[in-house]
Amino acid sequence: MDIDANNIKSFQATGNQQAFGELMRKYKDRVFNFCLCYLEKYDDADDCTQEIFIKLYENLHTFRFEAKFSTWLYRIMINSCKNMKRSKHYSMRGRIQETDISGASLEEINNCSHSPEKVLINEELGRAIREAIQTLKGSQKMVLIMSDIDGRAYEEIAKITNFKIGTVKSKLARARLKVAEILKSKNIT
Amino acid sequence: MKCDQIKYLLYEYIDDHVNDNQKKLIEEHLLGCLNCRSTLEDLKEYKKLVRQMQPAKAPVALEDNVFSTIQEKTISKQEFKMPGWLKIAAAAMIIGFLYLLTPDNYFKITKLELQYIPVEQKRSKGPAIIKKSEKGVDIRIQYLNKLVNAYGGKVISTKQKKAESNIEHLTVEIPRDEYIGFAAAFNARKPLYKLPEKLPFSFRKMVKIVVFFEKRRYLSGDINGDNYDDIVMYFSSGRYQNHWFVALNDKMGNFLKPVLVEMNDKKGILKKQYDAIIADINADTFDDLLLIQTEKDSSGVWYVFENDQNNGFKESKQVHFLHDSIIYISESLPFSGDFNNDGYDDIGLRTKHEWVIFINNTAGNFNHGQVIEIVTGAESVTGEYLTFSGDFNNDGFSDIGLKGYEHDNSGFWYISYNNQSLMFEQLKPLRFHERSGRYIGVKQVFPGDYNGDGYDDILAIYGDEITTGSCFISLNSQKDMIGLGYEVTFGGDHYFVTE
Repeated sequence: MDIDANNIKSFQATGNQQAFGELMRKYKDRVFNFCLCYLEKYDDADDCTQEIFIKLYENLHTFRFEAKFSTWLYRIMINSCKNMKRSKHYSMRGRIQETDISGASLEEINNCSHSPEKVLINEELGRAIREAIQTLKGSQKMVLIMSDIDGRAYEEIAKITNFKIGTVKSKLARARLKVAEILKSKNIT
Repeated sequence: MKCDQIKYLLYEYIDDHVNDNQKKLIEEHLLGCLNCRSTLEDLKEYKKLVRQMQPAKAPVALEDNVFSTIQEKTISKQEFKMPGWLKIAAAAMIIGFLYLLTPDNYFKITKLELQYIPVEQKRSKGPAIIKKSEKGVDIRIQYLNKLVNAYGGKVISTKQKKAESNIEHLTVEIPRDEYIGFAAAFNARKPLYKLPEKLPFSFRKMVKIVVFFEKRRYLSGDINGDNYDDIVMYFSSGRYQNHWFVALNDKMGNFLKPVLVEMNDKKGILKKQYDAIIADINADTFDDLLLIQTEKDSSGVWYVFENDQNNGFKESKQVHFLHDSIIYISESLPFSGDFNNDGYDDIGLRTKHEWVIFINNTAGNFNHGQVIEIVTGAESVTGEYLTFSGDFNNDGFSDIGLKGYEHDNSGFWYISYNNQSLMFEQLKPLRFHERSGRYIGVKQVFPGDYNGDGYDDILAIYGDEITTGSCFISLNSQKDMIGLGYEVTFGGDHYFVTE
């Protein structure tokens, strides 16, 4: 039995918070990165990540091991991101908070062994790619983040989204062409 | 191979995921095509950049925040088991009563007015309020006893008016932790039994009744993209024929006064007879209008008026279906929902014999219909019924429900949950709150998320197309159950009235 399954079973049986904590530690960066790519704004991604883990906490007892845990978690992530995007809260923020030299980059500068310049360059690149991703439509965006940012295989994406593999591939191809074109037009190299 | 075909294969080519034949064709094409060579370079660059990109790290305080929210939620769940608008109602009620904190952690509530207590539902017509049961006991007291017991409290004393034998009010004790829940349950004092099945025409203050005997249809959907479903109404006859009104959700359990919706209809679609549904067909979170014109051969032509995001609706365009065939027959009942959770609403049709779902191809058109099977199991579903759809378990996939409206099988509501791959689970009864009515005789039911919690609720409209309906909402309790109904208002009026 893998570690996830151990933790989930422990949580389901006894409500073990430590087990839930371990799951959260394992997946938090991945979840946050997904949310940030999908929602673009740091605060929205932070809120959304919190919401996802709260939902996970509330619903983990219903997980029946019929699918992979990460697939199941992905569904919660997608729904939460979509909901966040639909909420008024989100659109308000989008307008007010245009500049986003976020807490993340500062934190990273403090915590990271790379030079501050390099971190800033990475941050710039990340932001440019995320900005380009925002031009994509819902499902293309979702598929591109899952595949190219989070490194999920086509089969897994197909399972998560209920698309056929062919559909996943064609959505990805279109999305990549569009993002590549935007990055080129912005001279990001 | 042409550029259009080649360019979609280029990334796979970079990743070496194409077969030998494709590889050969691509390389031959690239030799002679500057555009595709340039696209290839762009994609290589894209791949390099994405690989360079450092994944963002979650904020340091994330774990603490999550755990403290969970803790807060656990505590507040024990105290507040109701939506926000009810909290306000409950708070108002709390102020209305005198209460004392007794040392043993109980609230003592004096003057619990009996007139506010709903009596058990009776099937008899008219607003009969029965004060005495067969044994001569005031059944409101029986009910109150039940309610108080359910929340772990007890009735301490009762007070009677001197001249009359009827009890005026009581004093009860309720555990402190249960007080808010009790107050909310007690405050739910708009019992459905009070409503006759058809509303009389003389009611309440209405200054200007201009739209009374004209045929109208109600619909519901999120028109302003705020995540709370609104109510839409249009007239199919009379002075307001082809006028569309929307009453926006005020996010407090009611709706704002209806306003006229601007429809851009140069083609004159609205002048012909049609059926309509509301669905978000372009996944922009603003619901669009779909109109179906019935042709002589019983087939239908579908049009969409896309929601111009708070600027009315755009000019209509025709909606196409893959392998366009007869996708609508005049007797079939259309409904909509996101059955595959891709954000794009799909279309369902209930024909005489089957349910068919047309999946939105995400480009504004629909695939060919898939007949879906709903297993009725042990439940015998007979007689006439409505089909409705909504996401009742907040999994993002719309479910399908049935509601009977014949009197002989009155009160039946069934639900078949979409188990996320268009396979619908066996039909089971949709549970209602034990004190809730079942909207018997109601023919207009609109599931929708009226309190913005992600779980679709039930909106039911009394009366028919001609009478001005009274609207009720029963909120989804999020636990496989539909709660007590309450009557909604539109900018203060109980009816959808425009002036």
